[in-house]
Amino acid sequence: MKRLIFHSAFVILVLLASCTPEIPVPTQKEKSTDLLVPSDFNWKTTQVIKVTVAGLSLPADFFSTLRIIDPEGNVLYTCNYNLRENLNFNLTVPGSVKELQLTYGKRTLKASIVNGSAGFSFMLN
Amino acid sequence: MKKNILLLLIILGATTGYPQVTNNFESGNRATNVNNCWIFDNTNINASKPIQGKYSCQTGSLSSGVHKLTSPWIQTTGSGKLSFKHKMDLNNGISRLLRVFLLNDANQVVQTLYTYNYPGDKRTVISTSVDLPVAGVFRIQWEFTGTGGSSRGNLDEISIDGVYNSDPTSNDGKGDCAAIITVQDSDQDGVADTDDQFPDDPYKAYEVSFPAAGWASLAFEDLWPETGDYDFNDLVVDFKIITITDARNEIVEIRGSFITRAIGASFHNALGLSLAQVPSASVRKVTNSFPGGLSGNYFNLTEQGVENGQTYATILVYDDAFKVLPHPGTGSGVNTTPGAPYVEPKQVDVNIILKENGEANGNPVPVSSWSDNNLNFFIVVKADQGRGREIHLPDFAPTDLADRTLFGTGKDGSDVGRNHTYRSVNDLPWAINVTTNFAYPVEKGDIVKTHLKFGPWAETAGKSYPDWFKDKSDYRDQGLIYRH
Repeated sequence: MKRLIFHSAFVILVLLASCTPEIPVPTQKEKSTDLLVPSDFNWKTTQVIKVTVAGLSLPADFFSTLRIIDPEGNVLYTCNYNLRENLNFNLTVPGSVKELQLTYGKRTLKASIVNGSAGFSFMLN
Repeated sequence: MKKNILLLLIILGATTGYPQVTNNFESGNRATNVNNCWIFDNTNINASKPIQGKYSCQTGSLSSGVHKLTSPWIQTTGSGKLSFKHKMDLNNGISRLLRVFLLNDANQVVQTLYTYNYPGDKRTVISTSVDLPVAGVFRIQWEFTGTGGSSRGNLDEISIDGVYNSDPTSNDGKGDCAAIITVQDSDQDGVADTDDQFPDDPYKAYEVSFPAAGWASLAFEDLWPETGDYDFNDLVVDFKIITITDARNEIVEIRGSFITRAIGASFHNALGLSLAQVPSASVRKVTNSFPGGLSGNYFNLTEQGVENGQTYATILVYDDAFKVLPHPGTGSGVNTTPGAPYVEPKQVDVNIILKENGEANGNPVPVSSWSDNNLNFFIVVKADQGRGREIHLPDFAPTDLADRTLFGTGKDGSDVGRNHTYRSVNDLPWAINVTTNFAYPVEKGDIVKTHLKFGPWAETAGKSYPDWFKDKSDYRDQGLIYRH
């Protein structure tokens, strides 16, 4: 009996583990007024990303041009940046963008967009 | 004219009057020093028997090998000093030698600045000060060697008369960086010509376009607070916003370009843009390439070109869409009915100037606080009959001149108090903003039947088909897309 319970529990666990949450695919509606839209949906085709850039504790100011670039090479943000400072700003990008690239002086950094944020750091170690 | 655009902080030495680069290793963190372009070669930062404070730079056991510390690039004047303290941690070993070199950009020894053979008790702290008799860009290298025993060299309280001149972005990961190079900066604004999109204008440096490539589109339904046919073609406007900033990262100009492509309505609607968080008084001047578009009776502009009576800067692109896209005489609306004469869209450019010759009215607008959430596009419905009936994108605020008594009437489900605006009672919008050139429906072509993934996108709160507007397989009913 114990073995049966153990095996049953194991099978259930395996079945549960194999379930991945999926977004239910809504049925095609005949008209817009039939749509069931979550009240918190912002209707945006863009996403606002919180970008953080961690600088270095340098002994002197170091200015150069910082650019944030999307995977297609489009420049999304440009500023004159002092590497001694940390930088925070919001960036609007198309909703389908998953990764951002930062160029600054001779450095190129990449960051994935996770939970609406992308973080870059110049620290090497 | 050339100028070193990499502005370097001058740390004035208290006694020498020279700028100095110092290191007392009290960060306790080798990585921090490596990031600053210090090179550790068989050396480290250690809290064992420091010379001063909690940490010193310490070599490995000097019984064999060469142990070095190399400074970042430093611009020297030819008359400064190098000072530091050094010792051995233990009094053992047959021989212990410290040599200090001045290195050039080929890593060649230009000059031996100092040599010390440790006699007697090697643990005695030696305070050293030597001349830096050569002007130029150099690195300082401390080199410890020895035979026998296990004692290690300690180094601390380094002070070099000169200006930090290393480029940390060229770091090889071990602290080896290139020296800063002098680059062309014609307008001397602090941004190199190679990066400066306005190299001859000291008051402008960069421009960024939204969208980053091509055009975005605004598409409106204009029956608010009632719902309409949801073909989102009552007014279709392509737009591009270019933000120009200066070397201080403050917004100088906002250049908007608008191409009205379709009017699927009979109302005479105005198009406006309110700049959220930018006070009206901050705008120094607005220019509009289509002055004939602002002749209506219901818009009152200041001398600067923003709308009177608004807290936030509000700009009218035109007061009647039919002025920029005239009705062709037949068909319903303009450019929405297949087969009806096509009217070539006309571009209207609006230039909003926030800084002139480096001067702003009030607080400048930093680009770091700017996003498309600041671009509050709207139409004024029946602008030939009144000013109050505004339609904005969902959750954007009405302007001060909007008729707020209309909220909550008809099918409107707005809750203005919690910024839940311009949504129907079942959360449908009256306006959408598409990040690319919108292929809008023909007259009466409901968007859910035209763009087949629009519905799933909306019902999943944007999780499915965030690219619903693209021309992908099974994404569209091509017969419902307007073409001419």
